[in-house]
Formats: sequence, structure tokens, C-alpha cells
Amino acid sequence: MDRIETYSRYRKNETRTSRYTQKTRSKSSVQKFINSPKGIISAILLVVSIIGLFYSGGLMGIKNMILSVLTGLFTDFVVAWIKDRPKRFSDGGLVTGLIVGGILSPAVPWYLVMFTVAVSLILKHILKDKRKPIFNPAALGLLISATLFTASESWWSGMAMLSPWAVVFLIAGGILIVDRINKFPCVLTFLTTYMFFFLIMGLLDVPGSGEALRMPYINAALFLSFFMLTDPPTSPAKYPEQIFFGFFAAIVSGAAFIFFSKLSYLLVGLLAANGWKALVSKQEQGRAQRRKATRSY
Amino acid sequence: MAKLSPKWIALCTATIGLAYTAGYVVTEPKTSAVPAAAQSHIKTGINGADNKDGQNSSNDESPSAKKSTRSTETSRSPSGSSTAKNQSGYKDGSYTGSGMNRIGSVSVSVTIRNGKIASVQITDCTTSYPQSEIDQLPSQVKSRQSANVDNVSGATESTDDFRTAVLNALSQAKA
Repeated sequence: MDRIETYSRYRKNETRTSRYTQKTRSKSSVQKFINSPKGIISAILLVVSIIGLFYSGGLMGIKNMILSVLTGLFTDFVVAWIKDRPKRFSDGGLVTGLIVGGILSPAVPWYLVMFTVAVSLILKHILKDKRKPIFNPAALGLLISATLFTASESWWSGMAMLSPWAVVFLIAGGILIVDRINKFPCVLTFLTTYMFFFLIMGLLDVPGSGEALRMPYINAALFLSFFMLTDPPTSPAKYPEQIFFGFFAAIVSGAAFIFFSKLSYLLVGLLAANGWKALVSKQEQGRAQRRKATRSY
Repeated sequence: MAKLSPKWIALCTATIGLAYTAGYVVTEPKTSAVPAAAQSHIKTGINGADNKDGQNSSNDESPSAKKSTRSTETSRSPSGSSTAKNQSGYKDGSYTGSGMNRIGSVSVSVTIRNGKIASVQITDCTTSYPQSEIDQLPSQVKSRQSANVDNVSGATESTDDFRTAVLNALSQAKA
């Protein structure tokens, strides 16, 4: 009898302990996510998107935002299921959904929003260098969507539809995340090059160059530089590389604005810089392999 | 990796600010002058003699063009009167106009024949929305003989730009 009582007490204690461990684990994983760069960027994007909605017709953006986030989470879940990976909450899917939803115009039809996010995330899993995606997923999806279906972009999360003073919120949020992920050289070089490029174009009387320094283009440039250019897997970590990355992205963006498209010039610049980064890391990998081979030989 | 020193951040931010301000100032007269210049330019006056008149009228129009960059409400008012007069109120020729707001600008070329709007073409579209969104509007202007076009759902700002551009062109065509 005593034995039975002791056993039942032991079982009860075990269940309590396991419940407590589960609770702590789940709490710590949520806390971990909130403190992680992706958690911080998600929170900042959410805040700037809420502020960015306050313009006439902006409330329609909520629908697209929710849809794009759900599509992002679902696409990553399906990819994890197909690849037989653990099915966790996809922070990458959340961030891509928030970025795409905040850039596409609220008037873009629901199926185009879903298409853009799905293409972004599918290509993220296909175009990879080792485990890292080569191109910024949101930028790639948006460029494809804009090229194939001329999907409208309003960059409303970048306060492009609000009064100019609202850009303060965007800059504050941007500084927070850039400081957290240590990407100041990249962002500052991009913005400096961007401003000087269009200043020189203005001095040379290149038509339309002034527009790149005004709303909504300047908001788009700020949004891209803070939240997309700094994406850790697709941008370099070393300072000298960050500087060239930012410079290259700004120059290509500027050239694309003048010669290619005013709708997706920033995306073109960012993707070109992503390509350059992938090329550099490939060369570094090759060098490292050669060094290893020489040593073992 | 150690973080960038705050001094460097402050220095770079100041440089960005200065470059932005310089760029803004350098390009400002041009952005407001572009629509005015575009309006003043009657490219191919069908009757030849329109060129001079067009340039004169453009000088009068430039302030209104500046106003139209901020507000489409003020430029809507002439639309009613232009609709009333378009039977005989327009001079033959080809006129250009621009409309600009926070999402970019739209330029159009309006051709008047026998006092009527014969054709409307979008010559430039620098809005952050694709031009295809407002591609159907020129035919509406032609069929209605007026700048009162329907708002395109999801491209209201582009529609406003287009409407302002057509109004600017039509105001030059008035005798």
C-alpha cells in the first residue's frame, strides 16, 4: 500500500515537473524569438506598418498584411513538411510576409499578394549558397511580381503615404535594428552614395533625378536600406564588404532609376548587391578549400 | 566585431543630411519647372501658329502648375468650365500637361482637332504605380470630351495626376 502511494506521489510530481519544464521551454523560446534580430525586426515592422496605415484607404492594407504573413508562414511550413524538417514557427516567413505586405499597394488583389509571398519563399529555399539564401526573398518576389503582373508598390510601411514628418518613426525603428545587427557601415554607405548619386544627376540635369530624393521614393530607399539591405543571410558581415555592398547597391539602384524602372529600381540594386555578395563568399569558400587541401597534402 | 564608433555614425549621418539637402535644393527648381516647361512646349502645333500662343499661355500657367503639384482639388474646378466650352473653346493643336503629387508625376499630350479632343496620350509616368493602371483613362477623356475621368480603384493618386495633367493641357488649349 505504501509503495503504491509513494509511486502515485512520484507520478504526480513528475507530471508537475514536466508541465513546468514545458512552460519554461515555451516561454524561453518566445523570449528568445523576441530578443533575436528577426523578433526585433518583426516587432519594428509591425509598429511602422500600423503607423503607416493611417492614411485614407490605408486600412485596406491590414487585409493584405495579414494575408501575406499567413501565406509566408504556410509556405515555410509546407517546405519544411516536404523536406522532412522540424515544423517550427517560421520567423523568416513572418518577416518576408511583413515586408511584402508593407510594400505592395493595399489595392493589390489578394491572389497577387499570396503569389508574391509564395514565390519569395519558394525561391529562398531553391536559390541557396550552402544554407543561406542568395537573394533577399522579399525583393526577389516583389521584382518578379512587378515584372510579370506590374504589381503596384506603395511602400506604405515606409510612411510613403503619410506626411513627411512621419518618416521619424521609420528612421527610429531603422536605427534600432541596424544597431542591433551591426550593419551601420552598409546602411550609411548606401544612403550616402544614393544622396550623392542623385545630387550629381541633379547637377547634370538628368530628368527625374529630383524625384528620387522626394516622397515616395526617398521613403522607399530608407525602408529598403534599414530592413532589406541589412538582411543578415544575404548581406556581408565584414565592414569593408559592407561598405562595398552598400555602395554597389546604391549605384545600381541609381542607374536602374534612370535607365530601367522607377517602380523597382531599389529592388534591382539590392538583388545585384546580393549577387555580388554570393560571388565573393563563393570565392572565399574556394580559397578556404584550396588552403585545406594544401595543408592536408 | 566591434561596433562602428558613434562619432563615425554622426559624421556619416551629417554627410547624408547635407547631401540630401543639397540634392533637394538643386533639383527643386527643376521638378517644378519640368511640368511648366512641358506645358509651355507645344511640340507640334497642327496649325503651326499655335506655338507662340502656347508659349505665352504657358507663362501664365506655370503658377497654376505649381499649385497643381500639391492639390488636385483646385485644379478640378476648371474641369467643369472646360467641359462646357470644349465645343468651340479649344484651339487646334497639340498640348502637353503634367500632374504631380506624392506618388510621382504623369505627363500627357492632348491633341485638339476642330475644337474637340482628338487624342490623349500618356507621355511619361513616374509614379510608384505602373502606368498600366491608368492606361484606360485617355480613351475616357476622348469619349467624354472632358478631364472628368472615373477614379481607378487602387490608383486614385495616379488618376488625380492624370486628371491634373489633362486639365493643364486643356487650359492651354482654351482660346
